[in-house]
Amino acid sequence: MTAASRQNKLVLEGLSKRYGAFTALEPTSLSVDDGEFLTLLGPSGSGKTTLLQMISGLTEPSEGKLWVDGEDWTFRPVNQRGMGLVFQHYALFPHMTVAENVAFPLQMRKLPQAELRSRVDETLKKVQLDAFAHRFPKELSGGQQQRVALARCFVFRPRLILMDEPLGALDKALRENMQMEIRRLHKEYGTTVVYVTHDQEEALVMSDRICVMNHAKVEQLGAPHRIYADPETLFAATFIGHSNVLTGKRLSMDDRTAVIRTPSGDFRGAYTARDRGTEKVALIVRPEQMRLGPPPDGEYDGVTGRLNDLVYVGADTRLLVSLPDSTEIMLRHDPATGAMPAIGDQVAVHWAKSAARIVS
Amino acid sequence: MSSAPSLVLSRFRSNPLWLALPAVLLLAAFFLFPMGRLFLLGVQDPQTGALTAEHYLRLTEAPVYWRILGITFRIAILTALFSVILGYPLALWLSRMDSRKQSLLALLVLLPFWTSYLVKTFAWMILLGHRGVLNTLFVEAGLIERPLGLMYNELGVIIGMVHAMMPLAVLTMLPVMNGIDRRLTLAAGTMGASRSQRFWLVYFPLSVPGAAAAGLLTFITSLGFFIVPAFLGGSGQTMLAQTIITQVQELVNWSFAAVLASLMVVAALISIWIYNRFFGLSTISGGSSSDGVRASSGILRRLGRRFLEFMAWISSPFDRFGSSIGNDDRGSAIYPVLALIFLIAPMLVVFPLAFTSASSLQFPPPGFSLRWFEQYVNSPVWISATIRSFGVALATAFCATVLGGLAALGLARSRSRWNGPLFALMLAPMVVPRIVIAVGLFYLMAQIGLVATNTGLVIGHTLLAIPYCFITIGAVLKSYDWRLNQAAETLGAGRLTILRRITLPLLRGGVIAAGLFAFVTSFDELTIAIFISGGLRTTLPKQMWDDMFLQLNPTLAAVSVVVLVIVTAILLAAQKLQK
Repeated sequence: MTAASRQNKLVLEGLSKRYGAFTALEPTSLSVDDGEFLTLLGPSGSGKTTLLQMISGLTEPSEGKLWVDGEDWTFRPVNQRGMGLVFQHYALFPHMTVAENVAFPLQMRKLPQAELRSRVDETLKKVQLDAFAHRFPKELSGGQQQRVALARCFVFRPRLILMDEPLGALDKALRENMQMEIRRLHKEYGTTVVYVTHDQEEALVMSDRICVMNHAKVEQLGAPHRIYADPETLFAATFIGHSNVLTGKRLSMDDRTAVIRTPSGDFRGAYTARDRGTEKVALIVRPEQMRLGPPPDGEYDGVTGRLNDLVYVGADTRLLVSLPDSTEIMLRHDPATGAMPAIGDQVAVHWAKSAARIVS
Repeated sequence: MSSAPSLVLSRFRSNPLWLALPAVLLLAAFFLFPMGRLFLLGVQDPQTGALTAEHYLRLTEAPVYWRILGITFRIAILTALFSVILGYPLALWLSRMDSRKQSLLALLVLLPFWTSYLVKTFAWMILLGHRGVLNTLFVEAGLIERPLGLMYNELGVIIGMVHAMMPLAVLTMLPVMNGIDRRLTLAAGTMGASRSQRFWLVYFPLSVPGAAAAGLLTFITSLGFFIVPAFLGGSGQTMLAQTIITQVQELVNWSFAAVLASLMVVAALISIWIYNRFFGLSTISGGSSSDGVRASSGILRRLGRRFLEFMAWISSPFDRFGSSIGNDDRGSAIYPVLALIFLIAPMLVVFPLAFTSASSLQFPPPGFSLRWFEQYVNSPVWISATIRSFGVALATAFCATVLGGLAALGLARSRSRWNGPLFALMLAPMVVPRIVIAVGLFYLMAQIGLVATNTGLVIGHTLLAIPYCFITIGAVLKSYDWRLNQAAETLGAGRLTILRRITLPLLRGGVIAAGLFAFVTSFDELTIAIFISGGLRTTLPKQMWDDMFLQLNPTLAAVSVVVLVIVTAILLAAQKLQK
């Protein structure tokens, strides 16, 4: 499917939220395609939950417009939006059984009894909870409660599902399990999903696109591999995956590349900064792009420093190198490059100029 | 050589329930024992002591007692019903505020809750009387030609009782409503539920345990009421408690008083049993109600569900009056503010009348004067009663805080199977109608010579204050981090040092607040004082009670102002310390 043939499910036009002098979300514009899985990723206070709540109708925007399927939904009442919302702590009705919880949205839509029952049964089977239909939520484990919340959301086939850190309360193993479950349900129903998390790994695993947010505004929006490979801001570079950061001043630039002056030398890299005005920039090189040894030719840049520590993490060994200005960089030890240096040794590190990015 | 004492010590250590022992002993001797004695009186022949049913048979002979029972139940049920229905929207409104604003506005409910029933009733007599404030205003405004009969009838009693009980209802419902997860109604909204569906299908069922607890407590308290019907009711509104007082004080018929008291306790126990059947008692003691109504049989559940769906349907036309978006289910503040005015304003009427220059309680006062305060200060009777009340209240505050606090500490640290029964025992004096406690205590104290002594009064008031201290200190202990004690222990502190340097400083606010609550409980207390204080040496409430029977005069208004100011000052202090 090409981008042009895809429908815009959801369009935000300068949507913002202020509480008095406090800005919860700067004016934000973005669009979500039909069937897309979009993740809002950022630390707490970055505005991602505010954005989600304005889409759901639980919070009224201060400015801007919200379009769904080409209709203006900015002030549409929450109960007439027909969106599915999965809450962080599930918000299961404690006085209703699992089946009653899942039936609730269908009753609100006045489905006939027979159809209602079959839909509830079918959905509960899909999340493997058919045996627990008559239990109360508090009699279930955390993972089971989470599945009830998912079933209650998917059962009425909403065209748009919003999830607010739905896996935040689960432990790591269960969380990974549920990530797969949500991906499966998303594919099966072909629903559009807007998903909020602060866990970058979760965002990378699940999303079609990630919207990185910080300080009440969008830092970068794009496919996971694009954000990882071509970060536009220092925040996006450091929030997703590990980055080695050398800060300095921009010396020169052209359309695609720039040269940065750092205490460890001048380096060239692809110039992906969003804000092209500032001279204070940073060179970003991912650890897997760095190798031990001096730069073999002009296509490479390099630094030297003291090996501070070796960290064994199972799959590989990480080398922590301290540069003369006490910037610390990290790289993986590649067994092919020869013997492991000892702690305290002076080592040379190099990377391909094409792998370096300059951001602001 | 140190093995024997350390053995004793370690036993004390191993079971912290020992800390509850002093309170248990006091309650056993002056609460459980006299209640049991009272029950026996009802089934014994006063001369021979043989078991007999004759006292209960008297009930069947005189239809007047059936009528009194009927009236008592009718008034108690109506009071509970109105208190819950009128209090529910107010509690709901308060529960939706942020905690700072809520605790501020909840003061307007706490204040009437702690204000003495006598002052409240006195204020209503001024308002509702034939030539009272309301009738005067209505006639002058031309709304009515002749004064309405607002009191000495059932209307007067219900107004006074609902005013007295609504704060209790609101304060019982509020914690339950605070505990309801607000995201649940939001979630229901996103699933397509309208405003009325969100309320009736999700919020309301979760709040029912609180409303039912409020109904239960107001019903039980109303059963034992006598102040309001004595002053605001006519002869047709005589309630059970008044009859008990008559039987004891005028007819000295202990056996029959015991029968009536037993009936009252049985009625209270039955209503508690019913409540426990459906909701579980933990709701009352501040437990979470998140499980809502106990899973009951399928038919009941389905019926309830139908009823709620019907209510949602009935109220759906009103949906469009509220804001439709988001969590702004705040609703209008008009009703809650009116309800708060209903709770506060009647008590304020005593202020202008206390400063009147007239020699009667006419309204509006013709001029300003301090003569009634002078009268109060120069009256040896009033001043000695005030001093005595202060002394008794101080002693009560000390005893109840120590006993209730130790019991709360013991129960908080223990996981014994005795916790449940002990918990119930500590709260029992709050649930058993005061009139029953007072009569039982009077019988016992008359035998051991404690009537008309300060000791007797302090013991009686301590019984009543222990539940409040137990709850207040228990609440602070709930949030106390016991790992701090372990931390102090690893740093080398001994048990006493931990108590002195760690535990007490952290609990200080709660402990002082408990003491203040106990002080107010005693300072306002009338029921026990009527029986125990005796003779010329009365307490302030007892003196007010006697005066109100003789004649309403502006001195009473001046005394009411003094009581109101003292109680308000203490409450504000307690509220500040509790945080």
